[in-house]
Amino acid sequence: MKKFIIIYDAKHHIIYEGNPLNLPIKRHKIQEKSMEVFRDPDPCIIHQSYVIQSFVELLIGDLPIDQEISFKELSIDTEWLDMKDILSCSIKVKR
Amino acid sequence: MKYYYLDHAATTPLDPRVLEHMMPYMNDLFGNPSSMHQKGIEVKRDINIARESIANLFDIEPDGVIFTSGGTEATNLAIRGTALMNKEKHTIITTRIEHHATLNTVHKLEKEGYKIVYLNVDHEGFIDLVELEKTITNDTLMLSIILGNNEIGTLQNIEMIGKICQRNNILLHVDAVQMVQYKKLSMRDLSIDLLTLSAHKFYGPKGIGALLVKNRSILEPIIYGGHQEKGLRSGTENVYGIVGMAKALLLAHQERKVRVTHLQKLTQTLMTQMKQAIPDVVYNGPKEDSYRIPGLLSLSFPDVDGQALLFSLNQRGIYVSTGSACQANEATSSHVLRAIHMDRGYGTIRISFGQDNNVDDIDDIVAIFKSVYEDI
Repeated sequence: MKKFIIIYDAKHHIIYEGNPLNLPIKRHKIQEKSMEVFRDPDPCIIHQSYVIQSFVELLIGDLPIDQEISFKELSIDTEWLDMKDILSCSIKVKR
Repeated sequence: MKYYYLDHAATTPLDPRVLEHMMPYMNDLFGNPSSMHQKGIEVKRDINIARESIANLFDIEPDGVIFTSGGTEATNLAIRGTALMNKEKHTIITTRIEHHATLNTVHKLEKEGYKIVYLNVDHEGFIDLVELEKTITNDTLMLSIILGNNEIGTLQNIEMIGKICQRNNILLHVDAVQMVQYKKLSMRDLSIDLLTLSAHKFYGPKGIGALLVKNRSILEPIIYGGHQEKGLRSGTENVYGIVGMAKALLLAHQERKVRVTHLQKLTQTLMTQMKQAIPDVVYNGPKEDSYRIPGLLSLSFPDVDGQALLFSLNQRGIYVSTGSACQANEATSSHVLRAIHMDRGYGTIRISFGQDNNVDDIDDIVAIFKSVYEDI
């Protein structure tokens, strides 16, 4: 069974539902991470995809299934997510 | 974390015996082979001993061994060098599943006015020998073909291909980079005119390869300079690379049967266990060991992204390759998977075993694959 995620805003409206690998990520964060991992500010699409997966793994790698968690409770940097007011949102991992 | 390196088709670790053989050339034996004093003469002699050793393994004359920076340069020299020297013919035949060293060289020639014929392959990656023979015309200069495909492992029928090329009087270039360590390749008996090899695929060092040629007169250089390699590849020789490659090739030749048996046992065990653990898995390329590069398996998994699978396997210490390629900044299935129509709805992983892998590890490897596949 494949994982997908739901992100709710402060009013509990769904603002994202789907494959975590399709989450919107700030372009400059991908570049920064690429510099950190590959020392390459202009990664090809395959290296970008590695970077995106690194972010996603960081976000959902340890999250329990079917449990809604506020972004505020997560002790990780979520600045890379290109979503408004992310700290007022919550996330649930589904299978 | 314990890890399993299953990417030997990408590169192999340096054999410690090869490293030991190379070490003096990184220290005391540092001379330039072109120098006419003792320091140069002693390494020039060792280069030529390495050249003779390699030539003997392929049944060619020593002057047919042209050292290059690797397989890509050797293939460029084989195709472009032959085209430059034989300008009366303008058609080159190749296949849709070549390495990019070949494809991008013929693409460039195509832009320069050459006619390139791309042979199709069947679902296992084999060319049609009848189609090959029908394709040859009076204008055909050469066939350039990969002996063992680096992605799906298909071994072409080189015996028949050699006969067809000889019968029709066209040159045959064989990219043997992945296969050279596993099969005795007599260029004389197989009617191969040019053959590409690369040391780091058979436990030798990176940065060294060779183009083997039966008759040097068919080639024109593509690099100009100080007339090294008797004018066919200028540039100061990579001495420790050359002696290391010769040593690695000799070891591969001496240990061939043991290595092949070991790799076939690994692939058979993995194929059986993987199918039991993940019934949906699809094996690409030939199913029979004798038609596939020893130790190489291409596996496709339905409804998963190959890159995501690779990432998760990497997290768990399994180091493999995908069947993806970066084209025009877009991740697509590779040209090889497209050619065998395995490019939609699957994520593809290439496993390539090596001498350092153990059958006892297969249980763990398959368990990790199953866990990752179910979790992704």
